[in-house]
Amino acid sequence: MTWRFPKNAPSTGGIPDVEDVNESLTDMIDEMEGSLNEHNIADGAFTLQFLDNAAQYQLASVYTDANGVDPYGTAPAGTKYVQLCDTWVPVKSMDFASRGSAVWILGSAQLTVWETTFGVMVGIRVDGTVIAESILGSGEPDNNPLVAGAYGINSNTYGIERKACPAVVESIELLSPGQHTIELVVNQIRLGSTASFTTPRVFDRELILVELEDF
Amino acid sequence: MPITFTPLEEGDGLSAASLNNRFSSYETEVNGLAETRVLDRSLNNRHYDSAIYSSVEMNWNPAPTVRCPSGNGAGGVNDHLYTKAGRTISDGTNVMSISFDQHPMNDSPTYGTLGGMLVLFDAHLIDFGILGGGSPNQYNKIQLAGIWLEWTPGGGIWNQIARSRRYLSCTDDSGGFYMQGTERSNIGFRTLITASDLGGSQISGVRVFAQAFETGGTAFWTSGFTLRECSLSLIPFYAKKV
Repeated sequence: MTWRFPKNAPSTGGIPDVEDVNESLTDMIDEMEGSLNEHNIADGAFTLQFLDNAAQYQLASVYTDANGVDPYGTAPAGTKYVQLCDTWVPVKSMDFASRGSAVWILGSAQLTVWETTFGVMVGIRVDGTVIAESILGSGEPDNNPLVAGAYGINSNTYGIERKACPAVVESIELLSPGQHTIELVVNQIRLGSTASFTTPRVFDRELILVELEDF
Repeated sequence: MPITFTPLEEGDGLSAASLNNRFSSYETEVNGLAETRVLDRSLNNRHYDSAIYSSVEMNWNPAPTVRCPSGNGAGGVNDHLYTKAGRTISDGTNVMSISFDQHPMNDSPTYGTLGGMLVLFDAHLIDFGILGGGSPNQYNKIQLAGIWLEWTPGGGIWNQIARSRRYLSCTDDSGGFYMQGTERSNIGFRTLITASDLGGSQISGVRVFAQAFETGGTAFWTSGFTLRECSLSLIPFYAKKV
Protein backbone atom coordinates (compact mmCIF):
# COMPACT_ATOMS: atom_id res chain seq x y z
CA MET A 1 0.00 0.00 0.00
CA THR A 2 1.19 3.50 -0.73
CA TRP A 3 0.49 5.96 1.97
CA ARG A 4 0.79 9.68 2.45
CA PHE A 5 3.14 10.78 5.15
CA PRO A 6 2.67 12.67 7.31
CA LYS A 7 -1.08 12.40 7.11
CA ASN A 8 -1.80 15.31 9.44
CA ALA A 9 1.20 17.60 9.39
CA PRO A 10 1.09 20.35 11.99
CA SER A 11 1.21 23.79 10.48
CA THR A 12 3.42 26.56 11.70
CA GLY A 13 1.59 28.37 14.44
CA GLY A 14 -0.97 25.60 14.74
CA ILE A 15 -1.67 23.54 17.80
CA PRO A 16 -0.31 20.00 17.55
CA ASP A 17 -2.74 17.32 18.47
CA VAL A 18 -1.54 14.07 19.95
CA GLU A 19 -4.05 11.95 18.05
CA ASP A 20 -3.06 13.53 14.71
CA VAL A 21 0.54 12.75 15.36
CA ASN A 22 -0.14 9.15 16.36
CA GLU A 23 -2.36 8.62 13.33
CA SER A 24 0.39 9.73 10.97
CA LEU A 25 2.96 7.49 12.51
CA THR A 26 0.73 4.47 13.00
CA ASP A 27 0.19 4.06 9.26
CA MET A 28 3.89 4.10 8.66
CA ILE A 29 4.69 1.63 11.37
CA ASP A 30 1.97 -0.71 10.09
CA GLU A 31 3.57 -0.64 6.64
CA MET A 32 6.93 -1.45 8.03
CA GLU A 33 5.52 -4.48 9.78
CA GLY A 34 5.90 -6.52 6.62
CA SER A 35 4.12 -4.58 3.91
CA LEU A 36 6.98 -2.69 2.34
CA ASN A 37 7.01 -2.91 -1.44
CA GLU A 38 9.36 -1.96 -4.23
CA HIS A 39 8.53 1.74 -3.83
CA ASN A 40 10.07 1.67 -0.38
CA ILE A 41 13.39 0.14 -1.39
CA ALA A 42 16.30 2.24 -2.57
CA ASP A 43 17.61 1.47 -6.05
CA GLY A 44 20.31 -1.17 -5.97
CA ALA A 45 19.93 -1.75 -2.27
CA PHE A 46 19.82 -5.51 -2.53
CA THR A 47 22.68 -7.66 -3.66
CA LEU A 48 23.31 -11.38 -3.71
CA GLN A 49 24.02 -11.58 -0.02
CA PHE A 50 20.37 -10.99 0.84
CA LEU A 51 19.07 -13.82 -1.26
CA ASP A 52 18.32 -17.21 0.12
CA ASN A 53 20.62 -19.73 -1.57
CA ALA A 54 17.61 -21.62 -2.92
CA ALA A 55 15.78 -18.50 -4.08
CA GLN A 56 16.16 -19.10 -7.79
CA TYR A 57 18.14 -22.22 -8.46
CA GLN A 58 18.68 -25.53 -6.80
CA LEU A 59 21.33 -27.94 -7.95
CA ALA A 60 21.40 -31.70 -7.80
CA SER A 61 23.76 -34.21 -9.33
CA VAL A 62 24.69 -37.84 -9.16
CA TYR A 63 27.51 -39.54 -10.97
CA THR A 64 29.43 -42.74 -11.27
CA ASP A 65 33.13 -42.13 -11.30
CA ALA A 66 34.76 -44.84 -13.36
CA ASN A 67 38.04 -43.00 -12.96
CA GLY A 68 38.18 -41.97 -16.58
CA VAL A 69 39.10 -45.42 -17.82
CA ASP A 70 39.34 -45.73 -21.56
CA PRO A 71 37.11 -48.21 -23.37
CA TYR A 72 39.97 -50.62 -23.88
CA GLY A 73 40.82 -50.78 -20.23
CA THR A 74 39.42 -53.15 -17.67
CA ALA A 75 35.81 -52.37 -16.93
CA PRO A 76 35.91 -50.50 -13.61
CA ALA A 77 33.61 -50.88 -10.66
CA GLY A 78 30.30 -49.27 -11.39
CA THR A 79 30.33 -50.11 -15.08
CA LYS A 80 26.80 -50.51 -16.30
CA TYR A 81 26.08 -53.24 -18.79
CA VAL A 82 23.11 -52.59 -21.00
CA GLN A 83 21.42 -55.82 -21.94
CA LEU A 84 20.01 -56.34 -25.37
CA CYS A 85 16.46 -55.34 -24.89
CA ASP A 86 13.66 -53.24 -26.21
CA THR A 87 13.35 -51.22 -23.07
CA TRP A 88 15.30 -48.34 -21.67
CA VAL A 89 17.84 -49.18 -19.01
CA PRO A 90 18.63 -46.56 -16.37
CA VAL A 91 22.34 -45.97 -15.98
CA LYS A 92 21.98 -43.12 -13.51
CA SER A 93 18.94 -41.93 -11.61
CA MET A 94 17.87 -39.63 -8.82
CA ASP A 95 14.74 -38.72 -6.94
CA PHE A 96 14.17 -35.01 -6.90
CA ALA A 97 11.68 -32.95 -4.89
CA SER A 98 10.54 -30.20 -7.23
CA ARG A 99 9.16 -26.91 -6.01
CA GLY A 100 7.08 -26.73 -9.15
CA SER A 101 9.19 -25.14 -11.85
CA ALA A 102 11.29 -25.76 -14.91
CA VAL A 103 14.22 -28.12 -14.49
CA TRP A 104 17.23 -28.22 -16.77
CA ILE A 105 18.29 -31.86 -16.97
CA LEU A 106 21.73 -32.72 -18.31
CA GLY A 107 23.14 -36.18 -18.87
CA SER A 108 26.67 -37.05 -19.89
CA ALA A 109 28.11 -40.53 -20.38
CA GLN A 110 30.94 -42.53 -21.88
CA LEU A 111 29.60 -45.36 -23.99
CA THR A 112 31.39 -48.38 -25.32
CA VAL A 113 29.47 -50.34 -27.92
CA TRP A 114 31.23 -53.59 -28.63
CA GLU A 115 28.90 -54.51 -31.37
CA THR A 116 28.62 -53.69 -35.03
CA THR A 117 25.03 -54.51 -35.61
CA PHE A 118 23.28 -53.13 -32.58
CA GLY A 119 23.46 -49.43 -31.89
CA VAL A 120 22.26 -47.72 -28.78
CA MET A 121 20.20 -44.67 -27.99
CA VAL A 122 20.61 -42.38 -25.00
CA GLY A 123 17.89 -40.27 -23.45
CA ILE A 124 16.37 -38.67 -20.39
CA ARG A 125 13.45 -40.28 -18.60
CA VAL A 126 11.17 -38.39 -16.24
CA ASP A 127 8.77 -40.35 -14.07
CA GLY A 128 8.88 -43.31 -16.41
CA THR A 129 8.45 -41.39 -19.66
CA VAL A 130 11.39 -40.99 -22.02
CA ILE A 131 11.57 -37.46 -23.35
CA ALA A 132 11.56 -38.02 -27.11
CA GLU A 133 13.33 -34.75 -27.86
CA SER A 134 16.23 -35.74 -25.64
CA ILE A 135 17.08 -38.94 -27.49
CA LEU A 136 20.50 -39.20 -29.05
CA GLY A 137 21.06 -41.92 -31.61
CA SER A 138 18.34 -41.96 -34.23
CA GLY A 139 15.37 -42.76 -32.12
CA GLU A 140 13.35 -42.84 -35.29
CA PRO A 141 15.35 -45.26 -37.41
CA ASP A 142 13.16 -45.62 -40.47
CA ASN A 143 14.55 -42.53 -42.12
CA ASN A 144 18.13 -42.95 -41.06
CA PRO A 145 19.46 -46.45 -41.44
CA LEU A 146 23.16 -46.54 -42.13
CA VAL A 147 23.91 -47.94 -45.56
CA ALA A 148 25.76 -51.22 -45.83
CA GLY A 149 29.39 -50.66 -46.54
CA ALA A 150 29.38 -47.01 -45.67
CA TYR A 151 32.17 -46.28 -43.30
CA GLY A 152 32.68 -49.98 -42.87
CA ILE A 153 29.50 -50.45 -40.94
CA ASN A 154 27.03 -53.23 -41.44
CA SER A 155 23.56 -52.60 -42.60
CA ASN A 156 20.66 -52.68 -40.20
CA THR A 157 22.61 -50.53 -37.84
CA TYR A 158 20.95 -47.73 -36.01
CA GLY A 159 21.90 -45.49 -33.19
CA ILE A 160 25.32 -44.99 -31.69
CA GLU A 161 27.67 -47.86 -32.15
CA ARG A 162 31.20 -46.66 -32.13
CA LYS A 163 33.75 -48.52 -30.16
CA ALA A 164 33.99 -45.48 -27.90
CA CYS A 165 31.55 -42.65 -27.98
CA PRO A 166 30.66 -39.86 -25.59
CA ALA A 167 27.02 -38.91 -25.27
CA VAL A 168 25.47 -35.68 -24.05
CA VAL A 169 21.70 -35.29 -23.71
CA GLU A 170 19.71 -32.43 -22.31
CA SER A 171 16.17 -31.32 -21.75
CA ILE A 172 14.25 -28.63 -19.92
CA GLU A 173 11.06 -29.94 -18.35
CA LEU A 174 8.29 -28.37 -16.34
CA LEU A 175 7.82 -30.38 -13.19
CA SER A 176 4.86 -30.27 -10.86
CA PRO A 177 5.57 -29.79 -7.16
CA GLY A 178 6.57 -32.96 -5.43
CA GLN A 179 8.78 -35.99 -5.88
CA HIS A 180 10.02 -36.99 -9.31
CA THR A 181 12.33 -39.65 -10.63
CA ILE A 182 14.86 -38.43 -13.19
CA GLU A 183 16.97 -40.93 -15.09
CA LEU A 184 19.67 -41.13 -17.70
CA VAL A 185 18.66 -44.10 -19.82
CA VAL A 186 20.17 -46.21 -22.60
CA ASN A 187 18.41 -48.50 -25.02
CA GLN A 188 20.08 -51.02 -27.28
CA ILE A 189 18.21 -51.35 -30.52
CA ARG A 190 17.30 -54.88 -31.49
CA LEU A 191 15.85 -54.41 -34.95
CA GLY A 192 14.74 -58.00 -35.14
CA SER A 193 18.19 -59.35 -35.84
CA THR A 194 19.19 -62.62 -34.28
CA ALA A 195 22.89 -62.00 -34.68
CA SER A 196 25.08 -62.47 -31.67
CA PHE A 197 25.84 -59.38 -29.74
CA THR A 198 28.08 -58.01 -27.10
CA THR A 199 26.67 -56.01 -24.26
CA PRO A 200 27.29 -52.28 -24.52
CA ARG A 201 28.88 -50.71 -21.50
CA VAL A 202 28.51 -47.35 -19.87
CA PHE A 203 31.51 -46.09 -17.91
CA ASP A 204 31.75 -42.59 -16.42
CA ARG A 205 28.40 -40.90 -16.33
CA GLU A 206 26.76 -37.94 -14.68
CA LEU A 207 23.21 -36.72 -14.27
CA ILE A 208 22.76 -33.05 -13.37
CA LEU A 209 19.65 -31.08 -12.44
CA VAL A 210 19.38 -27.31 -12.31
CA GLU A 211 16.03 -26.27 -10.96
CA LEU A 212 15.05 -22.94 -12.48
CA GLU A 213 12.51 -20.96 -10.53
CA ASP A 214 9.64 -19.52 -12.52
CA PHE A 215 10.49 -16.50 -14.59
CA MET B 1 19.65 1.97 13.72
CA PRO B 2 16.32 0.39 14.60
CA ILE B 3 13.20 2.31 13.77
CA THR B 4 11.03 2.57 16.85
CA PHE B 5 7.84 4.39 17.52
CA THR B 6 6.77 5.51 20.93
CA PRO B 7 3.20 6.81 20.80
CA LEU B 8 2.73 10.25 22.17
CA GLU B 9 0.89 10.49 25.41
CA GLU B 10 -1.35 13.16 26.78
CA GLY B 11 0.77 15.82 28.43
CA ASP B 12 3.82 15.33 26.17
CA GLY B 13 5.28 18.62 25.11
CA LEU B 14 4.64 19.31 21.42
CA SER B 15 5.73 21.88 18.92
CA ALA B 16 5.39 21.98 15.15
CA ALA B 17 9.12 22.16 14.68
CA SER B 18 9.91 19.17 16.84
CA LEU B 19 7.18 17.06 15.24
CA ASN B 20 8.19 17.94 11.68
CA ASN B 21 11.73 17.11 12.58
CA ARG B 22 10.63 13.75 13.82
CA PHE B 23 8.51 13.10 10.71
CA SER B 24 11.37 14.13 8.53
CA SER B 25 13.69 11.46 9.89
CA TYR B 26 11.07 8.75 9.40
CA GLU B 27 10.26 9.98 5.93
CA THR B 28 13.90 9.69 4.95
CA GLU B 29 14.05 6.15 6.26
CA VAL B 30 10.88 4.97 4.61
CA ASN B 31 11.44 6.51 1.21
CA GLY B 32 14.99 5.30 0.89
CA LEU B 33 15.42 2.19 2.94
CA ALA B 34 18.98 0.97 3.02
CA GLU B 35 19.99 -2.66 2.73
CA THR B 36 20.68 -2.68 6.45
CA ARG B 37 16.93 -2.67 7.02
CA VAL B 38 16.70 -6.18 5.63
CA LEU B 39 18.22 -9.22 7.28
CA ASP B 40 20.76 -11.25 5.33
CA ARG B 41 19.14 -14.00 3.25
CA SER B 42 15.68 -12.92 4.35
CA LEU B 43 14.52 -12.41 0.76
CA ASN B 44 13.48 -15.33 -1.38
CA ASN B 45 11.88 -15.78 -4.77
CA ARG B 46 8.64 -14.31 -3.46
CA HIS B 47 10.38 -11.00 -2.99
CA TYR B 48 12.86 -11.11 -5.78
CA ASP B 49 11.52 -12.76 -8.88
CA SER B 50 13.98 -11.77 -11.55
CA ALA B 51 17.42 -11.93 -10.00
CA ILE B 52 20.11 -13.32 -12.22
CA TYR B 53 23.18 -14.24 -10.34
CA SER B 54 24.97 -16.56 -12.64
CA SER B 55 27.27 -15.80 -15.50
CA VAL B 56 28.32 -17.53 -18.66
CA GLU B 57 31.54 -17.34 -20.57
CA MET B 58 31.98 -18.89 -23.94
CA ASN B 59 34.93 -19.37 -26.18
CA TRP B 60 34.98 -20.35 -29.76
CA ASN B 61 37.97 -21.40 -31.74
CA PRO B 62 37.20 -20.50 -35.34
CA ALA B 63 40.09 -22.22 -37.07
CA PRO B 64 41.78 -25.60 -37.03
CA THR B 65 43.81 -25.33 -33.93
CA VAL B 66 45.23 -28.41 -32.36
CA ARG B 67 46.97 -31.30 -33.88
CA CYS B 68 47.27 -34.10 -31.39
CA PRO B 69 49.43 -36.86 -32.71
CA SER B 70 50.28 -39.45 -30.11
CA GLY B 71 53.54 -40.54 -31.57
CA ASN B 72 56.67 -41.97 -30.17
CA GLY B 73 58.01 -38.74 -28.90
CA ALA B 74 58.41 -36.90 -32.15
CA GLY B 75 58.95 -33.23 -31.62
CA GLY B 76 56.57 -30.42 -32.23
CA VAL B 77 54.58 -28.04 -30.15
CA ASN B 78 51.42 -30.06 -30.28
CA ASP B 79 52.94 -33.51 -30.25
CA HIS B 80 52.07 -35.63 -27.27
CA LEU B 81 53.69 -38.56 -25.70
CA TYR B 82 52.24 -41.76 -24.49
CA THR B 83 53.46 -45.16 -23.54
CA LYS B 84 51.58 -47.79 -25.36
CA ALA B 85 51.95 -50.61 -22.88
CA GLY B 86 50.32 -48.85 -19.99
CA ARG B 87 48.35 -46.30 -21.94
CA THR B 88 49.93 -43.70 -19.74
CA ILE B 89 49.35 -40.10 -20.57
CA SER B 90 52.40 -37.99 -20.33
CA ASP B 91 51.29 -34.92 -22.19
CA GLY B 92 48.26 -33.29 -23.64
CA THR B 93 46.99 -30.11 -25.16
CA ASN B 94 45.19 -27.40 -23.31
CA VAL B 95 42.29 -26.73 -25.63
CA MET B 96 40.81 -23.74 -23.86
CA SER B 97 40.41 -22.36 -20.40
CA ILE B 98 38.43 -19.89 -18.32
CA SER B 99 39.91 -18.02 -15.37
CA PHE B 100 38.02 -16.15 -12.69
CA ASP B 101 38.35 -14.87 -9.15
CA GLN B 102 39.01 -17.51 -6.57
CA HIS B 103 35.81 -18.89 -5.06
CA PRO B 104 35.08 -21.35 -2.27
CA MET B 105 32.25 -23.84 -2.71
CA ASN B 106 29.70 -25.26 -0.36
CA ASP B 107 26.54 -27.30 -0.88
CA SER B 108 24.72 -24.67 1.19
CA PRO B 109 26.54 -21.55 0.09
CA THR B 110 26.62 -18.29 1.92
CA TYR B 111 27.36 -14.99 0.27
CA GLY B 112 30.67 -15.12 -1.55
CA THR B 113 30.50 -18.89 -1.84
CA LEU B 114 29.32 -20.92 -4.80
CA GLY B 115 27.07 -23.97 -4.71
CA GLY B 116 28.35 -25.36 -7.97
CA MET B 117 29.80 -24.70 -11.40
CA LEU B 118 28.20 -26.27 -14.42
CA VAL B 119 30.77 -26.87 -17.13
CA LEU B 120 29.73 -27.61 -20.71
CA PHE B 121 32.20 -28.52 -23.42
CA ASP B 122 31.58 -29.42 -27.04
CA ALA B 123 33.98 -29.77 -29.92
CA HIS B 124 34.06 -30.84 -33.53
CA LEU B 125 37.01 -32.81 -34.74
CA ILE B 126 38.22 -33.87 -38.15
CA ASP B 127 41.19 -35.65 -39.72
CA PHE B 128 40.90 -38.38 -37.14
CA GLY B 129 43.19 -41.29 -37.73
CA ILE B 130 46.70 -42.37 -38.39
CA LEU B 131 48.92 -39.58 -39.56
CA GLY B 132 52.02 -41.60 -40.29
CA GLY B 133 53.30 -45.12 -40.21
CA GLY B 134 50.33 -46.46 -42.08
CA SER B 135 48.92 -45.88 -45.48
CA PRO B 136 47.14 -42.61 -46.11
CA ASN B 137 43.63 -42.41 -44.73
CA GLN B 138 44.16 -45.45 -42.64
CA TYR B 139 41.95 -45.55 -39.62
CA ASN B 140 41.52 -48.06 -36.90
CA LYS B 141 39.41 -48.65 -33.87
CA ILE B 142 42.49 -48.37 -31.71
CA GLN B 143 42.66 -44.64 -32.21
CA LEU B 144 40.95 -42.63 -29.55
CA ALA B 145 40.37 -38.95 -29.09
CA GLY B 146 40.21 -38.11 -25.43
CA ILE B 147 39.15 -35.00 -23.54
CA TRP B 148 38.80 -34.15 -19.89
CA LEU B 149 38.22 -31.29 -17.49
CA GLU B 150 40.71 -29.84 -15.05
CA TRP B 151 40.28 -27.21 -12.36
CA THR B 152 42.82 -25.06 -10.55
CA PRO B 153 42.95 -23.55 -7.08
CA GLY B 154 45.62 -21.23 -8.47
CA GLY B 155 49.38 -21.31 -8.25
CA GLY B 156 49.77 -23.38 -11.38
CA ILE B 157 48.17 -26.47 -9.85
CA TRP B 158 45.70 -28.33 -12.05
CA ASN B 159 43.51 -31.20 -10.93
CA GLN B 160 41.74 -33.57 -13.24
CA ILE B 161 38.10 -34.51 -12.78
CA ALA B 162 38.25 -38.09 -13.93
CA ARG B 163 34.53 -38.58 -14.42
CA SER B 164 34.58 -35.92 -17.13
CA ARG B 165 36.87 -38.01 -19.35
CA ARG B 166 35.32 -38.84 -22.67
CA TYR B 167 36.69 -40.88 -25.53
CA LEU B 168 35.76 -41.12 -29.15
CA SER B 169 37.03 -44.01 -31.22
CA CYS B 170 37.92 -43.64 -34.82
CA THR B 171 35.76 -46.54 -35.86
CA ASP B 172 33.17 -48.98 -34.73
CA ASP B 173 34.20 -52.31 -33.27
CA SER B 174 34.76 -53.82 -36.69
CA GLY B 175 37.57 -51.39 -37.31
CA GLY B 176 35.92 -50.14 -40.43
CA PHE B 177 36.76 -46.78 -41.87
CA TYR B 178 34.49 -44.58 -39.90
CA MET B 179 36.10 -41.19 -40.01
CA GLN B 180 37.20 -40.12 -43.42
CA GLY B 181 39.25 -37.05 -44.16
CA THR B 182 37.37 -33.95 -43.23
CA GLU B 183 34.34 -35.77 -41.96
CA ARG B 184 33.40 -34.29 -38.67
CA SER B 185 32.43 -35.83 -35.44
CA ASN B 186 31.76 -34.37 -32.05
CA ILE B 187 32.92 -34.94 -28.52
CA GLY B 188 31.88 -33.29 -25.30
CA PHE B 189 30.82 -33.55 -21.69
CA ARG B 190 28.71 -31.95 -18.98
CA THR B 191 30.03 -31.81 -15.45
CA LEU B 192 28.84 -30.10 -12.30
CA ILE B 193 31.79 -29.14 -10.12
CA THR B 194 30.77 -29.07 -6.47
CA ALA B 195 32.41 -28.72 -3.08
CA SER B 196 33.16 -32.43 -2.95
CA ASP B 197 35.42 -32.05 -5.98
CA LEU B 198 37.48 -29.28 -4.41
CA GLY B 199 38.29 -30.96 -1.10
CA GLY B 200 38.18 -27.69 0.79
CA SER B 201 40.18 -25.71 -1.74
CA GLN B 202 38.96 -22.73 -3.69
CA ILE B 203 38.60 -22.70 -7.46
CA SER B 204 39.91 -20.04 -9.79
CA GLY B 205 39.82 -21.62 -13.23
CA VAL B 206 38.96 -24.55 -15.44
CA ARG B 207 40.46 -25.90 -18.62
CA VAL B 208 39.86 -28.69 -21.06
CA PHE B 209 42.63 -30.98 -22.22
CA ALA B 210 42.69 -33.08 -25.34
CA GLN B 211 44.81 -36.11 -26.03
CA ALA B 212 45.19 -38.59 -28.83
CA PHE B 213 45.50 -42.22 -27.84
CA GLU B 214 46.52 -45.34 -29.62
CA THR B 215 45.63 -48.35 -27.57
CA GLY B 216 46.97 -51.60 -28.83
CA GLY B 217 48.24 -51.20 -32.34
CA THR B 218 51.16 -52.98 -33.82
CA ALA B 219 53.48 -50.03 -33.93
CA PHE B 220 53.95 -46.58 -32.58
CA TRP B 221 51.94 -45.04 -35.27
CA THR B 222 51.37 -41.35 -35.09
CA SER B 223 47.70 -40.91 -34.89
CA GLY B 224 45.72 -37.84 -34.07
CA PHE B 225 42.94 -35.50 -34.89
CA THR B 226 42.29 -31.86 -35.48
CA LEU B 227 39.96 -29.96 -33.25
CA ARG B 228 37.78 -27.46 -34.96
CA GLU B 229 35.03 -25.42 -33.35
CA CYS B 230 35.15 -25.71 -29.59
CA SER B 231 32.89 -24.26 -26.95
CA LEU B 232 33.63 -24.20 -23.26
CA SER B 233 30.87 -22.71 -21.11
CA LEU B 234 30.90 -22.15 -17.40
CA ILE B 235 27.91 -21.24 -15.26
CA PRO B 236 28.71 -20.52 -11.62
CA PHE B 237 25.70 -20.91 -9.35
CA TYR B 238 25.06 -19.29 -6.04
CA ALA B 239 22.58 -22.01 -5.31
CA LYS B 240 21.93 -24.75 -2.84
CA LYS B 241 22.80 -28.30 -3.85
CA VAL B 242 20.08 -30.61 -2.63
